[in-house]
Amino acid sequence: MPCAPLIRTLLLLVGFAAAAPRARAADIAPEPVKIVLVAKGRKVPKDGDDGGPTQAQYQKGWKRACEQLGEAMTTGLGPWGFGVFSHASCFRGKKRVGGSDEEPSWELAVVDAKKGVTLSLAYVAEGAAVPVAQLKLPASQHFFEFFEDDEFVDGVAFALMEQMPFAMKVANPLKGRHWRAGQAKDFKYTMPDPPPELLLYRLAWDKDGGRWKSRVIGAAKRGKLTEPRKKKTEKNTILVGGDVSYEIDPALADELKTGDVWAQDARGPGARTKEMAKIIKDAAITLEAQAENGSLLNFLKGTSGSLLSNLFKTAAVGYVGLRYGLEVLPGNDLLKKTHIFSLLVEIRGGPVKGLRYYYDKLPAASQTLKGENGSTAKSSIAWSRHVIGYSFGFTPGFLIDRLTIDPKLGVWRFDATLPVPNDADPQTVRVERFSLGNTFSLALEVGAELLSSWYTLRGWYAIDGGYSLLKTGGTVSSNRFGADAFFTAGPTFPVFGIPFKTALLAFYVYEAVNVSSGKKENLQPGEVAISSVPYSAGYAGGGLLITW
Amino acid sequence: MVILRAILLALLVAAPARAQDAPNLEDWLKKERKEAGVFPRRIAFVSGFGEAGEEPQFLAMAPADFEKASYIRAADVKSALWDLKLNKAKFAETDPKELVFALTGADTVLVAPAKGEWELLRKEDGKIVSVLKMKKPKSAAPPAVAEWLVAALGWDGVVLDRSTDYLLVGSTASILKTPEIQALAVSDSQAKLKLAADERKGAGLLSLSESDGGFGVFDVVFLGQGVKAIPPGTKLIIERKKNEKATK
Repeated sequence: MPCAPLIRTLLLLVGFAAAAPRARAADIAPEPVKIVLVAKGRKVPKDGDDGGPTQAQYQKGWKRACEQLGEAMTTGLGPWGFGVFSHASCFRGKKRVGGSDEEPSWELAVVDAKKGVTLSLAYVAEGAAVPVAQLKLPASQHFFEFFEDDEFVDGVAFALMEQMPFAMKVANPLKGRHWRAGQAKDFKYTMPDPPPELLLYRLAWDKDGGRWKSRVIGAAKRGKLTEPRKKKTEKNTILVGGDVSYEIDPALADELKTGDVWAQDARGPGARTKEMAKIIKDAAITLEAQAENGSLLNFLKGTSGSLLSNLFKTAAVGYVGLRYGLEVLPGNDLLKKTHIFSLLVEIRGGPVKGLRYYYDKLPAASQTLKGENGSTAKSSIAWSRHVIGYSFGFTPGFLIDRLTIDPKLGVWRFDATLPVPNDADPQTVRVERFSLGNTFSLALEVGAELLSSWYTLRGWYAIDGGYSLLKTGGTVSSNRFGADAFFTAGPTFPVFGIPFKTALLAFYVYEAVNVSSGKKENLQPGEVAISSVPYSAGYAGGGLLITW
Repeated sequence: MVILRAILLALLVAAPARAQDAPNLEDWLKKERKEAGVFPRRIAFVSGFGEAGEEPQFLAMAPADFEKASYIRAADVKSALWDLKLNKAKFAETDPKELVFALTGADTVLVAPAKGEWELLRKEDGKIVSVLKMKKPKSAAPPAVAEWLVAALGWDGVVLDRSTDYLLVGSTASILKTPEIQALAVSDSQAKLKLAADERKGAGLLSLSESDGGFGVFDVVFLGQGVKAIPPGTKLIIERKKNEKATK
């Protein structure tokens, strides 16, 4: 086959051509975005007789919402420095309602349907739309009114841009504005942190391959975060200013001068999609509840009406919960019959941040004891305690998210009849009553927490000392340690404009107790007073929390 | 070696090529780097492949370190991994080996597991083929890997470009560090990836005039009978004896 080498050579040359790099696609530069409202199956009555906006209000509301969202997605103007588009144009269907009349490569469709609102961002390459981001929200007649709230606008813009192949145009120095609180004096919803690290790269759309192609040039670590400051206006107090800066390697300075460099959270596009979807959904539920109450504007200004709502707002974040646990340690038959109920209230934000209240109740349990000589005696135990405490916490910066030290005050009622040694007649069972009445207690607890948007894990150790207020005196002391796990689960529901969430709780607590009955009155001749009895118990169980 | 010397002597009878001013290597490299190259030009190093759509396990080798030792460009792993994140949906079902080629733009993939033989993969007619499988080098340091690669392929350098009587050659930094080293251009080798010992027939004798890392400019000392030019892609056998002496 004399022609075989020639064919092989040709095939290899074809192979070389295929392996050769294609002409480099044009790097992505800031472009405008076309934001289009698509009303799907949702009819807006001309006169708004369905309780919603009139057609004129709907159109005006859309224009305003589109402009607000467009601005928050513009380079240099978005939250935490995010922003990718040069400017935005707004359309209602095919009709332009704001901005320039052009057909850019980016299109954000806002589909307002009966079942919900869907925002879909796509890159349009040669007529074909490549989806890059999506956000789904509950249906609301008031949806466009939500965009009066800068905090909500920042949330929507951030939720879309964090899914994009690029979220931020890199400038040197690299700095971005703080998340906004709108017209309120505090943040109303969960605020996502700025990304701890950004990846910096040039980016192109490879038409032939139908994919994004990057050239990574470096990374930038989060530097200083300046919190916004409170500023008094004529009518209320608002938060203004604040920023975040990122540290860029000085060696990249020249590279940044030679073209557009983009950045995205180094964890990758979409790394926070779940977290953001939840934040925005919760915000939308809150806003919807306020709008339905007719108190949206007051809520946005932080001057919302109802007393209960305001009370909750001062609490800001926290939970109230009930739990139930069974004794799990082997050995003691009396304690085996016990179980524990608890009511827990923790305030984890607002002016009374750190306030704790716990009520624990061990319902009465009894056990008949038999001595070796056939004698019997009844032992029993019951106690309850109210504890109020205050938690001082700080972030250690490594391993755990939060370390807490909680001093506590409480009232402990303890009533037990417990077996004690009978030295005079060991074959006869002997019990002793320890009734301490109201016992004033002091406690100190140390805790370590791991926190995320959907769970809290907490390990803790506490020491309690209780002093009976009875004339006879008496003490009770306890060394306790335990672990709690809270998991957000179930639906979110608004009450008086506050989005409440349900959470499940699992816990384990080990307690070593030492009870002293104090001065014993009416001692029988030959009777030896028993000063104290120790016992230990372990309870494991679960519960339900309502968090806000 | 005896055969090589005989070939070199035979070539001495051929007409010497004309000497002209040598092109500047730095300028030449700038030009050369923008053009389609000769295989292998870009390589990706992996220690293993994940499941479909998962991140491949790239070797921890800085491209700049490898490129100091070899003319072959090392794939930009950081960009490749980021591209996977940017195009998650597109690559979700992609075969793990295909994924490495697609992400890195490499024409060659060196599969270098911690244990066992190393394997060289390339794409031919859209299919991934195994070029060779060999005992791994003693060290995974970039210079050792660069040496291992050319040794495995059976040649020492490759002609990347031609300008009058001068050839831009790709090799390894350690081979080209000896000044005025001589090389034998292997006849009809431009389309071959691997060279067997009996395929090393001389087409011309070359002499190194300038080098920078894994790149060198060779001038044509003379060409074999009937040979008019040495085309890009031609493989070279570079005399190691002088090299070894020079390094002593």
